[in-house]
Amino acid sequence: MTGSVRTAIVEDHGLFRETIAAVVASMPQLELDGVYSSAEDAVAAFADDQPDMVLLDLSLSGMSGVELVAEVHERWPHVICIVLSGHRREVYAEQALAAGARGYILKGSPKRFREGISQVLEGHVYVSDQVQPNGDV
Amino acid sequence: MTDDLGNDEPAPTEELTTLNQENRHKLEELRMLSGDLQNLLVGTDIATLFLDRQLRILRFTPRIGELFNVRHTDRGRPLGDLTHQLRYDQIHADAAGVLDRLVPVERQVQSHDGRWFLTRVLPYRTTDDHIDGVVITFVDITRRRIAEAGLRDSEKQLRLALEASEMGTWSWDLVDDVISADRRTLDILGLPDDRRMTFQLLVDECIPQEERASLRAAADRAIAAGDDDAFSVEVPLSNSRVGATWVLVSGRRYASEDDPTTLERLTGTVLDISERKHAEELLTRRVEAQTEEIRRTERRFRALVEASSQIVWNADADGRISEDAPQWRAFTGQSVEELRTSGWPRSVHPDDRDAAVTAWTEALVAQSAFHAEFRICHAPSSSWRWVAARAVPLRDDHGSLHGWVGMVTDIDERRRAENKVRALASRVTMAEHEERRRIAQVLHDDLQQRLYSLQMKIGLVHEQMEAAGVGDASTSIDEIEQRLAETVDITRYLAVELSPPILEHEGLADALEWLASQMQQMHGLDVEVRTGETFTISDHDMRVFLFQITRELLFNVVKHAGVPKATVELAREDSRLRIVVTDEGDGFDVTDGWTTEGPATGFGLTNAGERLDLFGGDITVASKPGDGTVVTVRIPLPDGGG
Repeated sequence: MTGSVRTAIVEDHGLFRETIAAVVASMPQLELDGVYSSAEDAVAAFADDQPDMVLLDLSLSGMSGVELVAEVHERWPHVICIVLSGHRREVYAEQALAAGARGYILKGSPKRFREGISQVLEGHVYVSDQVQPNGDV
Repeated sequence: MTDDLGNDEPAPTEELTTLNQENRHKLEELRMLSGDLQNLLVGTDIATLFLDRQLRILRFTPRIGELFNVRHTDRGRPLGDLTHQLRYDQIHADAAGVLDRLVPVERQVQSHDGRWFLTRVLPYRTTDDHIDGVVITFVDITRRRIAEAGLRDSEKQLRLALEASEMGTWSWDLVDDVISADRRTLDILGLPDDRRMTFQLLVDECIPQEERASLRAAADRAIAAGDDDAFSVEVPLSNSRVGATWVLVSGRRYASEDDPTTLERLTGTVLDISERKHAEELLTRRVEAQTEEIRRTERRFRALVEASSQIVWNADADGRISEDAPQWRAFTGQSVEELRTSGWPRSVHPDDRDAAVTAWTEALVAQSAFHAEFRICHAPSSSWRWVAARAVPLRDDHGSLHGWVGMVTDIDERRRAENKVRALASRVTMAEHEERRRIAQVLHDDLQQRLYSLQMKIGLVHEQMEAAGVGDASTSIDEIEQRLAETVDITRYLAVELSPPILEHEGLADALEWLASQMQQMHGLDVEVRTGETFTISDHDMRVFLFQITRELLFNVVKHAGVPKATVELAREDSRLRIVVTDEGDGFDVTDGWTTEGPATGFGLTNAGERLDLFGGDITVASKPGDGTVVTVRIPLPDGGG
């Protein structure tokens, strides 16, 4: 992928939303396109103009992360969905990927975050190493 | 005779002829007389021996032959020459003595073959009173002697019997009005033996004033009774006397032997029955006292029943109401008729009726105590009230059932209070769980997100510092990142402990699989989870509860079983869910330390037990020392599962 990747963020926790925005801003290949606190707001905005990539929290209040992935993937298949999650259990990653996500990145490390994004932008499906079949929630 | 024949004087022929004729007549008479006498001697049964003055044999009757060795040719032989069968050595002396003194001798002598003879030795008198010899007669009295001996034995036995029975005998001569009594009778009556006793005297002496009329009536009845009628009457004696206080007088009437129509006497016995009467009186008094005590107890019981709010009822062995139960009628408004025709179930709430009737029928069949709780119609308030009905079978001394006694207690307030407590307990449990979930939510949704933010920001700072070449601070940053990661882990663990988020999103089987992996990671216990099908339990509280109780049971395995393996089986059983936790560990004696609160408490599942109760479930534990433990939890599935 060439040029800036227009990136939207969907995260209901304010502090983490800002943190993600800061990390995105620190990555030259990405361009922050929109920041939303709920899946519903995001979908409403995407109806007019879709970003290239959506970074979204799995545990959203209201419409869940997996539901958002499914909806985006169905309506705008060209939009890349990457799920950010605190859950290390594999089943969540599987659900997200099944809905159409291209990556499942555990929250916490900017390095791991950048690596995951890069892998996906290079066309791979990325799931963080610490995700295990019986990992704790 | 010689004189008649010795007249040799000549006589006129006619006279001679006449004389000869007379002599012939006399001779003929004499011959006939002699023949008669001979026949008489032969015909008589009495052995008789005729001896002359020299004690030589003159004549004898045939029966003498049984006793003496004598024949007709022995006539003229002396008595002493004869041998005989008798133990009668002085026969010769007796005969000589009689001849000498003319005084008859009578003896009883025995023969060698054991017969007895009455022997009489008499002087033989001629018609002119001249003593011409001796007559000895032998009469066989063996039978008489046997009869006499028998009589003596009977008398002796009677005496012994009377003595053994301590009975006195008496006889009342009705002709002369004299009562004769033996020593014992006098002792029993406390009378001196030196008095002529009449009936009147006896009555005045011995019988208390108030009893005399009835005794006279008894005597009159005895006298008027038929010949074969014995009488028996118990008579009290005047209590100022020594001797008996009560006697049993028995007897019968005897008519005169001369005139069977005339009563001659009453004869009978008298027995001291004072002790028996005394014992009877004591017994009667005791029975009366006990009867009175039973009556008092029953009055107290009745009073208690009337004073309490209990409904008491009685049924026969077949379970039919056998007595009126006014309290039941007042409570339910039923009629006596309805009650008597087994109409009581009509007062029971339709939802409870079948169970109540079934419980009662089962108790009847098993003849065991009945207990059921149900609602019955309360007529005064036109409402349903909860009651507890109990009944116990009544058995006689031989153990056979003869009825039932039952009680119905109004437990409506208790029932309502229980329901309230149950609802409150449920609300408390739910509130507690809700609170745990809320805290877990906060931990996850806010605290963890903040920690992730910090981790990422610190990570960015770390990168920038490395890019700027400020390597010295790197070690400190490393440490901060390390501590942050630990803090994240702790909050994650806390959240899981408070409310496993897995239960929010996944089925019970998945949650148990996750639990198994947790037990392996945290406690080294290999748990095999067997699930036949997918159970979707929509009730979140129940899902959480089943997860928690399974976790508690697995913790028990970790703590007590001493084996690193357990299985959890999840299965459907009718409309219930069954969870079985099995280990092959140490086991224990299920009867040890079991509490009355039930197996859940005894198994260290106090809280779980109460909550299991709320969900209508139950728990059973099977275990033996050294033989592992199987714990089975059953819980009704909401909506029958699915």
